[in-house]
Amino acid sequence: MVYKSFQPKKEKKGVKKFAIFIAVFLLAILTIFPSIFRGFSASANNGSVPFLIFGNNVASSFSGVAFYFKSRQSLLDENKALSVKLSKMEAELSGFDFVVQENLELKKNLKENVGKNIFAQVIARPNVTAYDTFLLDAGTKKGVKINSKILTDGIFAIGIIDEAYADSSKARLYSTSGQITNVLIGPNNIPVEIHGLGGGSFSAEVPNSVDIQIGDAVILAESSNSIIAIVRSEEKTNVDSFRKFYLQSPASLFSLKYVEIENTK
Amino acid sequence: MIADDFQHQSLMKRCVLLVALFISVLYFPWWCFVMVTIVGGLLFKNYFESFIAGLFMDAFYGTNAVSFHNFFLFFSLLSLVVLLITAILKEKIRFLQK
Repeated sequence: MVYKSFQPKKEKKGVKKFAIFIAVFLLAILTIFPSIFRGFSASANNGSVPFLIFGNNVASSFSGVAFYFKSRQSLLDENKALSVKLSKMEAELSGFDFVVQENLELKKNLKENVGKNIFAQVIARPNVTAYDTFLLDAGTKKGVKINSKILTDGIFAIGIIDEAYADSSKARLYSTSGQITNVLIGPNNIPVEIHGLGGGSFSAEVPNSVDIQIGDAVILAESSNSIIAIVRSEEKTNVDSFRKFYLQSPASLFSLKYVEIENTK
Repeated sequence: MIADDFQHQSLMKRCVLLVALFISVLYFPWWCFVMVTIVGGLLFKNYFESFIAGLFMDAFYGTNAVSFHNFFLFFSLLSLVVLLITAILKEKIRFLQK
């Protein structure tokens, strides 16, 4: 009969305390001097992005084989994809036409020479990245710049480039928890501040007198040709002077494979 | 010799868990990393590989503006807290094995 004990053997407790002290000291140094951490971040990205790309390629090459063993699952996935497509089409019908028309008119009158958008593959998305960030396989070599907008389907804005490296970049989503974005809501272009809740969701509080309806399109205040969200529901509050709305990005963030990065010159 | 074999097996297990930690950080949701940290903390002493992995996660996935209440080293701190909790739990747990 052998005792297997999780009790640690008598060891030099000073070593463990020293190691914990070093770890806490390191965290404090990195918090006080974030530039040191950003250097580490660049190295981590440059070294690890190839592993992510390899993993994505392996996963996509096996996806065809998996279909034969997952007939029920494939129906569920198809159902989910069709639901996403339906919600996109509802977004198009709910006030999208005027944005497209305005976009076309603006482009005709535009005198600046704006280059084509940069296409990038999403190599990590919020269900893997614990933060609300996207990792993209396009970097400064392809012309990606910091603060460039990220779009899907050419018109749905989902985020902004926060860090750009040689072969990859990191995008922060507009829906990041705590992020505040200035937008215009509805056909009357009502200026509102929306708060990110994470995962493509936003909330907004507006006075009672403001006319906002469920289904209204929400566009970025800085560029009226990008839809950022759709008003999905209203929360009834006890405070009579304000109404709280919940908004949702029309893009399916957890299954996006490709995005466009605005090419600003 | 038995002690050498035991140490060798322990080292092999630690290497396997290190590979699992690396895979969980890159390819699986963040809570897989937490689970691997808990397992590593319970099985091995001074499992600071998970603290390094937490630092890596914050560096790899975080940005300047994304943080939890203005603290952008969330996973480093989380791994440290999990390791401390498992260290305390190990002092309280004991079981019998035939």
